[in-house]
Amino acid sequence: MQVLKKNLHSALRYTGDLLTFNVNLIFSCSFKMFREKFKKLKSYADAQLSNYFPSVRGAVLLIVIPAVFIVPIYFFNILTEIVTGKTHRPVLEYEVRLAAVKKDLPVNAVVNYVSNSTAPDDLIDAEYVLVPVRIVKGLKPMHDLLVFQNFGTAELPEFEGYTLKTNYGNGVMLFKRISD
Amino acid sequence: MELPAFISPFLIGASIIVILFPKHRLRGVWLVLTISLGAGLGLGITSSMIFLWLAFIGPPGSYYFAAELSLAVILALFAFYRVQYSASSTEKDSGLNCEAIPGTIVWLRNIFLFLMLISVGSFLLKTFFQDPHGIWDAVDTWNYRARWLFRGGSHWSYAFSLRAKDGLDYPLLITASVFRMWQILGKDPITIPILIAGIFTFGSYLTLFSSLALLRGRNQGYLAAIFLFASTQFINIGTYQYADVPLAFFILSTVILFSLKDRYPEISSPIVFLAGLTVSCAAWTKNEGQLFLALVIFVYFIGQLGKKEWSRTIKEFIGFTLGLAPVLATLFYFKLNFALENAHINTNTLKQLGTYLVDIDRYIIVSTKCIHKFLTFNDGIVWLMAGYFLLSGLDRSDLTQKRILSHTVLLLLMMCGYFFVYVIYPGNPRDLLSASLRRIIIQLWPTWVFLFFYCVKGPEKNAVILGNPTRSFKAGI
Repeated sequence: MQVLKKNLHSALRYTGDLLTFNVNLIFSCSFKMFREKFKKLKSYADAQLSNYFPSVRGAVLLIVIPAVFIVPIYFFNILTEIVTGKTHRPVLEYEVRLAAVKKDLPVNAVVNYVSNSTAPDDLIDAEYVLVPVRIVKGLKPMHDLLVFQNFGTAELPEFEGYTLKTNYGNGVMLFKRISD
Repeated sequence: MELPAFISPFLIGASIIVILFPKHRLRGVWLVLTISLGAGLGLGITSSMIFLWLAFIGPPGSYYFAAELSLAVILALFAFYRVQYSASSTEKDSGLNCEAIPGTIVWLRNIFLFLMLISVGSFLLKTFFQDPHGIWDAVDTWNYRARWLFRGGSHWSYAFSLRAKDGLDYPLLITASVFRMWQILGKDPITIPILIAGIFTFGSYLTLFSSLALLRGRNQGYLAAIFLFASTQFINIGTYQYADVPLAFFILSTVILFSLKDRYPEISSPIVFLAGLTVSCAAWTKNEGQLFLALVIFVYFIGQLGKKEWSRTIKEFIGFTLGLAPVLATLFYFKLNFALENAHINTNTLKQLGTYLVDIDRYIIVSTKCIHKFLTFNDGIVWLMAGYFLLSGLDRSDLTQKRILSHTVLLLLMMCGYFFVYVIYPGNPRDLLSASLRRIIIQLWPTWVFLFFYCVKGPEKNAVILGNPTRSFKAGI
């Protein structure tokens, strides 16, 4: 019985080894085949390229040819975007919109800022454009001046404790605090 | 005209390089390297100077500009004397064995020039006609702060107030450079941040080209620069006026300087001094630069202790520290007196650090996203690299083989550092990943391109770079 077990064990081990060997052989053969095919393909491509570029490696063209297309395409994409006015840059628009109110705000003043814009960078753009005026978003705490940016609403807003000082006509309004 | 405002930073940066580099080197690609590296370094140094003046004395006026110009003129005179003296007293030597370097492939050079021209056109179009104020971070942080420093008068320090939720401790190289130019001009044209962005963007291309031209020959330099031109994400981020491209410029410059140090050990002291300057400028540009600073010390000095003589490593470290000190001291002063707490790494987040570090989901999210982004970056440009590598193979010459390991380790450690910043991010790492991963890749991209083309075979068939080019070098030092 023990002899049988031993034989079975060695037979299994032999089969396992054989299997591993076969798998390795298949892999190494396929790898070798792949490598040889790759070498053949490479030498063929090299030979073809050598006709046109005798002193340069073929691999160079792998970089140069895409670059020659990519860089001008990038240029023309930008040009097209500019010509068609595809891109919308709110900061440029804010520079124009807020130019008049900026002149009426005292330097380094702290002002409240209210806007009905849904743009995520509305406050950031307004802060950037109005430097050196400090902006407090919303109505609290109250300061002497309030800048309101109106995007699309027709009716004139009312803010408790404030009265309209100047309507610049482009959706920008300056309110002043009503003295107690 | 805005250009005179750039004269003294350029003079200061370029003169320091001319004074420190060997005497006879101000020709050809060395000149290109001096100009491109000098312009960036000069902006770093002058931004640090003007911030210190503003903080200690007040808004800079004519006295500051007289002092800065005097420094620039003195350094330029030293540099001029050095170049003139060397022309008459020393043997002309390019430092490289020129006979061994293959000749220029003319069509490759022409394509490089053509793409450079087109890229300049793209940059000008995009900056002047599409995004003159830059995008998000430029409007929210860099140019916003510069406007406060310039327009704020005595209230300039409001630039570092709690107004922003993010970027409370961002360093000031870009901001102070823009402010400096505006202060000189007495007005705040948007041309200035655009030109500064242009200097760093095109400075990166030229530094990449000139360094590889020195280390591997001009053709390899042209090819690497062409590849970087094809990486249009790089120029795109440059036009956004983000600080990632200037940081990429300083990281690239540092790795290049350490490569030159390995190549020319005779001039290691001045080169490590310059590397100290570029590293400190990286730290003064963005917080990621501070991680870079720590890793540079770890990889290039602590990591070399067992391999080289102690005395030599310590001597190099002293030179490096001397270069590092001026701008780094400014950064410390800024961090201690003006910068507020970092939004991502602060006492609250440190308490939760342990939880985040053992959260396997975070590792999976971050690694999946990073791998995906890297493989698809710039429409999968890494596959072009892979194709080139497969077809051309690695350059196994002695000159390059031994010298790339530490640079590669440095970049991999940087990537690991970024990886863990995402892992310990207090919010949802997906948000931070989608907002910043592309820019993080850009910070290291030119340096990866440099290392890649430093390692792989060049464009020429049968090109060999012979011998050690340093042997006849001492005469010029």
